[in-house]
Amino acid sequence: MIPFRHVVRQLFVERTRIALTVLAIAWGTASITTMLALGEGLRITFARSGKGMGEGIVVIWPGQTSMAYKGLPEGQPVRLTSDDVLALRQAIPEIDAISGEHRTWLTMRRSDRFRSGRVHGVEPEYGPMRNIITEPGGRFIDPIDMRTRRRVCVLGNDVVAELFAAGEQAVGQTVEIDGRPFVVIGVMRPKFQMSTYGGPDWDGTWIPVTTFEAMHNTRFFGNVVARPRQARDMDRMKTRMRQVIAARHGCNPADEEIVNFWDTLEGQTVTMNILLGLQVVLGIIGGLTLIVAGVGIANVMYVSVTNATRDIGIRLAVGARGYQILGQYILEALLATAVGGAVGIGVSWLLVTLVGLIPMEADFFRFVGRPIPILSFTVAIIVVIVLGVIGLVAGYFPALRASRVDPAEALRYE
Amino acid sequence: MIRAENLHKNYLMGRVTVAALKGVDVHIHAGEYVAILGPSGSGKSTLMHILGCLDTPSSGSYHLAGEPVQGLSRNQLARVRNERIGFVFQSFNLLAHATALGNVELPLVYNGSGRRVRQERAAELLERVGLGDRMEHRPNELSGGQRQRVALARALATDPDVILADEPTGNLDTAAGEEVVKLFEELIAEGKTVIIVTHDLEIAHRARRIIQLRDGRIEQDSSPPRWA
Ligand SMILES: Nc1ncnc2c1ncn2[C@@H]1O[C@H](COP(=O)(O)OP(=O)(O)OP(=O)(O)O)[C@@H](O)[C@H]1O
Ligand SMILES: [Mg+2]
Repeated sequence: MIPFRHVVRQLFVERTRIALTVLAIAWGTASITTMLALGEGLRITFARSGKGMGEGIVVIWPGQTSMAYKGLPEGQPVRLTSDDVLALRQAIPEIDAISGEHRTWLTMRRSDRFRSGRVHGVEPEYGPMRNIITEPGGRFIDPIDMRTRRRVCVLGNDVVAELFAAGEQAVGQTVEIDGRPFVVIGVMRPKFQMSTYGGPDWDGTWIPVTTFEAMHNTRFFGNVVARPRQARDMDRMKTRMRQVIAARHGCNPADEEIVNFWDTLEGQTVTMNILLGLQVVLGIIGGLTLIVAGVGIANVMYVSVTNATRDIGIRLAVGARGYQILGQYILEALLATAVGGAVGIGVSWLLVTLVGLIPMEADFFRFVGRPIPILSFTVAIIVVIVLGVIGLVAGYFPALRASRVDPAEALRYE
Repeated sequence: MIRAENLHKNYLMGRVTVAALKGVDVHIHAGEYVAILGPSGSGKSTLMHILGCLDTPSSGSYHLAGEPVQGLSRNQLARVRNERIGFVFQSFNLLAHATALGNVELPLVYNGSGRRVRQERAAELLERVGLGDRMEHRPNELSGGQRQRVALARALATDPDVILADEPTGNLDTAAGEEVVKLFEELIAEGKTVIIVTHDLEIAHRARRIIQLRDGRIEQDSSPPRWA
């Protein structure tokens, strides 16, 4: 029988000792969880914006030959058309998605609002590949748009903001592109984007490749975008692409210059490694903080319980059993842990919320997104448990020792 | 009530063994009022601690109310201390953080009494020792004499048969000491067995029996001549 209520009341009576333990646990919990929350927020932000342009894609620019081949000197331009894209898709099973891309600068108008900006001619697979996701109620270019050369367009969110009044519904409305009417079929959901070629997507307008080619009387893509089925297929896919293009254009298959690749996986690997490094560093700092906090708690607990030896002697003298004494200290440690842990998590939550409220208006955040700290309750609970166990063990042994000696002995402690 | 035979207590101080008790026999009947006298270091506290089950003898036998105490487990000894013995110390030994009421309740906490019972009993005892208006005071808000009366009330909490007091007036002035001694005499009148260690001959001679210790042995054990 451990007198539970007596112990609880004792907590309020022996304020300083309990306050110290609670404080130590609260401090440890708050500092570790807050720090890891900030790190996690940073990590998620970078991971998310790193994927803003699309995940695991490759951008292919046509180049020119750098080796004489089959009677032709070097320096022959290689131009890619829809036929090449079709051939690549058919010849290379590793390709998951592929799209040619035209790009030009055009004026756009809606009633009295004008802007001039980038207009891209792209295929349906381009949208998902490049992480251009439309707001609900809209859609990206589809195969029927392609086949019938419809005058439809998808607008970047900044384009919408310029051409339409705030709150106005853009989808279904008509805008003029280069003097021709286009129906808006989708609006890009705002996103963060760390890398671009040509410009950020919030500034872009996309129309079907076929419509673009009819308007501009061109067939030659500025670039092609492709994505392998799996990241590990990337290198094989690139090699096969060069071979197929070389064969179709009569170039040396060993010629590296006929197309240039921007393999975003390479950059993403670097980003992921940096983020992994960040996590490792934070983990180490967190671990060290945990050790420091643990030592602090162990110290507080050890000293306070040792100082309570005389009180333990008094309790023993009036008839407390050893297990009742131990029970008291275990209960005390558990309650201190629970309260300290709750306070620590609360403080951490408060800090994290406050950091989330700090205004951050730098241009940088348009591309990366605001890092919002993310509190992990798993981490918090683990920290609280670890600190609690440390406190418990540190208090248990002096309490055990004091409860095992004859009361006369414990009473002699000054 | 108390039957201790051939008690020895040795303390190991590094390599030297200090013999604090060298074969002490004490027989005390229920209801007796006994004073223990002796020079400093003669083993009075050691003997009291053994009789109060706060310490165990190195050898010898001890029966309390007919039951052997040696060989009892730690928890059984705790129970004996809780139920059969009230101990009053020279230095009070009150919990500094607890109120007078909390201190008096303490033995009842460990015998499983309910909160209501504890509070009523503790309040009643504090009234009895004249501290009805000091229940919520902490020890450092009380005078020495008041602290010792709180300690006495605590010793009485579980209504034990035997009250042991080791120099209960040692830290008190004459007037405060006198009040405490009066309370012990009331207990005798109620039929409790009281053993009190003192340096004060006047207090000792009010007891019906004096045991004189010297150098770990009983030098004299007698009923004192009646003065006055
Ligand atoms: N824990 C201990 N360790 C070593 N020696 C001890 C211990 N307790 C008591 N002694 C020794 O035992 C002897 C008896 O001590 P005790 O405290 O019983 O004397 P006392 O008669 O109560 O003296 P006083 O009147 O000063 O209180 C002394 O020589 C003391 O030094
Ligand atoms: Mg003494």
